[in-house]
Amino acid sequence: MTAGRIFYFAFVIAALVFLVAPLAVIVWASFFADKTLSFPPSGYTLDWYARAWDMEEFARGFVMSTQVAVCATLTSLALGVPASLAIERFRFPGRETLRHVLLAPMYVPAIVAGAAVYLYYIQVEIATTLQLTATFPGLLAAHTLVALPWTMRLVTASLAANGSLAEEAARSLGANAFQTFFYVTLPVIRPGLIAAALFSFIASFTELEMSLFLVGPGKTTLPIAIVNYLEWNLDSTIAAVATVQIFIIGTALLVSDRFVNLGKAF
Amino acid sequence: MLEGKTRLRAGALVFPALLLVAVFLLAPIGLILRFSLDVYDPSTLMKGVFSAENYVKLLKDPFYTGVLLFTAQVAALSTAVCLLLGYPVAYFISRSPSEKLRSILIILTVLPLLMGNAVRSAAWMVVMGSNGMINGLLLALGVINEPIKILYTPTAVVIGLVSVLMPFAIITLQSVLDSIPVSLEEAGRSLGYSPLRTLWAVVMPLSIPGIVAAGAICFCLAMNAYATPVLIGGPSVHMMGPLVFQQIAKVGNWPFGSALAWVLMMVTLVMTVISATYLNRKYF
Amino acid sequence: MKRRQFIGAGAAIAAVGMVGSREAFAQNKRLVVTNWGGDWNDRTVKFIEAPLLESKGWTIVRDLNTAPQRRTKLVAEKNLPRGSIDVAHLSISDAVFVNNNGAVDTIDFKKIPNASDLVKEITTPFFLPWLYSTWEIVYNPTQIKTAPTSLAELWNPAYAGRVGVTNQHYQDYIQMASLLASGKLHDFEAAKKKLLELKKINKPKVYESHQQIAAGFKAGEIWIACNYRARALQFQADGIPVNVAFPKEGAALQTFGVCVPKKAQNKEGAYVYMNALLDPTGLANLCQANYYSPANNKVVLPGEVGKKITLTAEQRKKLFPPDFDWLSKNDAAQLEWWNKEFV
Repeated sequence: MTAGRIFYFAFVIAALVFLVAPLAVIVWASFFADKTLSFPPSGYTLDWYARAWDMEEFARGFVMSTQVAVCATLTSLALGVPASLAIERFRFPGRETLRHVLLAPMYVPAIVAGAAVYLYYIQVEIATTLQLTATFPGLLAAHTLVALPWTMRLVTASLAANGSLAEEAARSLGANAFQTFFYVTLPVIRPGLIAAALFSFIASFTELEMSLFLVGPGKTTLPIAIVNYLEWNLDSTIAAVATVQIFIIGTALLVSDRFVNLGKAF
Repeated sequence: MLEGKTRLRAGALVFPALLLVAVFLLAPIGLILRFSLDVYDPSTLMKGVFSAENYVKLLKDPFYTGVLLFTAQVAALSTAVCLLLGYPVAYFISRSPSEKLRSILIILTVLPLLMGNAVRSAAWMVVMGSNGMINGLLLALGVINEPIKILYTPTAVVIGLVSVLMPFAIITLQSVLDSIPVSLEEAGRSLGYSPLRTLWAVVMPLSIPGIVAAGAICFCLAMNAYATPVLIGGPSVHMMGPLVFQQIAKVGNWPFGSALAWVLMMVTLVMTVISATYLNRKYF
Repeated sequence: MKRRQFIGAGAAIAAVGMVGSREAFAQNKRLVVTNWGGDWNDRTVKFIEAPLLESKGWTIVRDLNTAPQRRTKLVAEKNLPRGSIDVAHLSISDAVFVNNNGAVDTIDFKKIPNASDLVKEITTPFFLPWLYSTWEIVYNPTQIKTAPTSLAELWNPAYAGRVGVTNQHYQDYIQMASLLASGKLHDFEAAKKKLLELKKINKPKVYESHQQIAAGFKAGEIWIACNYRARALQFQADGIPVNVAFPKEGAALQTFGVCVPKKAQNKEGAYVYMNALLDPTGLANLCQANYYSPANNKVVLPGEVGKKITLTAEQRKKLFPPDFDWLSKNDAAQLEWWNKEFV
């Protein structure tokens, strides 16, 4: 164990601690007894969890975030998987341009996209009386946009890594396009699909900048409820909300690790 | 295979996604391009004229060009730190001997991502605030007599951004490093190179596309950041993301906000194009 | 009694709103209210919305944000077929702004029984006044032993690094500086010079809003600032070491209340809400908790609190109500200057 290796390990551990430490601190802070945050705490209590539970903006925000994220993931897969197939398995002029167009939501800054979609929705409402701001469909469209590039990246990478050899073999044996897809392609890209679903869900759930413009009274997402609260207060209540979110999502990650080796998914 | 049938099939597969992007992203962006050429009016919000005055204002007013430059500087610094810290971690994960360890490390890296920017910024506020953990520790140890200002400074914003962006850098770099066969490193070792030299001479050159990709992602995300600058930077630190939101939602100056948005987008687009043309598409 | 009910029923069919139980006729019991957040909203909920509305079956959906966002939203929504807000909490200057831009309705005060006796100086046709207070000097008496008498104290170099400023109250700070510099409330140029001077001499600490500046006082970070008398008294009640002093240059009067947006979907509900806001008991409880003065003259405030918040005749002479038309035209410029050059 050379000095160099020790330094290397220490460095990696320090970097990981840097990543995870804020998590630990806010979980710790959620139990402090003081009304305004202070270190060291004068005592510990569970009161803030009760308070957060009573605050409907957090409960509602959590439900809305989950609903939108699930629907956005499904929509993103429904749109992104066929599109990835087209791009990876077919040859046609303009293919690369199309790839970049479909990845556009990633190139456009979220805050820019949010402002643009918001102003667009308002013009749509003035012209057609169809309301999209502060509605579930309006949010869903924006979140699907956010999720789509993640789906495309992961599914195209999976398709690219697993060449079309088996598929061509199946076709030459007489299978039609659908059969080839379901029985040959799908099983092979399943890790990619699950990774895509996972990352799409995460991208949608934590989405903040587009949602800033598109939420409304009674229809807000959890990240926005948190940012709004932080504008007025920094206390253990918000720490409690954060801890609950960490706990739930951490569990979800651990559970999905059972089904998909996350080490191989990326 | 018939060319026409293939094209039709490909078209049908890609059409729904393309429609979504066209209707909900490209059209709105075009719309705000039009707005950015309009002029603000407190009552009607937009006068309906064509004028370049918003862009002129942006490029001539030292405050706004200052904000743009400052944002770029913060983004560049955060990216550099991210890559410096993230590369060793990515290498460690990629070359880790046990699957289980790899899984755990990836989960540890990804978990902070899942907290979301809002929560993570809140956590840093708790750590860096004048009533926060760092000050509490230093006061208790007697190192200082009164709280030092850490929060609401550009340094704090860089720290916050690095912590937000590092998972992206690590995951991107790690998947690139995965595709560099260990046998190449073994070859290097067999030639007498030390582990460090192997890394420098063999692995790093091959991972440059990944470094560029990770750097581009980090830079763009930092440039466009909202929650971190707002919550950790406070009212005195001016960055582009919060400025766009402020102009559109708080001041109601949609034309100027749209112009700011377009300039922000152009900057990140240029960065992305530069890195994409440099990039080996295999990793992207 | 029977005859009145008959008339009431008949009138309700023809035109909504008369003497009688309005709740029975307001079918839609869902209201969207937009307000500032933090403890301002907490108290509004605790003393007015929860006991007088929510306990009676009303659902109140809250949109909490800052005044600039609220203003922009109201003006933006006036063009839409339906607005998303039913009642908007605003300061009176913001109300003038949105009214000048055609975003809010004229209020029919006859439909609000509790509005029969309001403070006249702060009532306008489109704004229901609710609470008011004065912008005064707030200081830490353990650090600043003699009570300051002049706004110039904030410029005292002895307090370098100990002066606090809240970002939300840019209007109030600019007005205060203007008063000090030229005795008028809206001398923007003079105010700009004065504030830049302050920035150079005393490097004020900028806080986002009330809670943060309270924390600043508590931690001893700052010793002197400006704020509404009501807020200073609240901080005192919370155990924070502060006192409030009326400046000799005078104080701007700030009024808070509500407006009804033109495109509100539940205007009937809005009237019920406005009536609840001015309920004498609810308002009395609220003012004892937050130390603001009520706009409803029928509200009786017991001794201690009443003494603390009532203005003396001397002080009344030095009150400066804002020039709303001036603010309407110039507030955007004020906000821009504040963001660009001061914070």
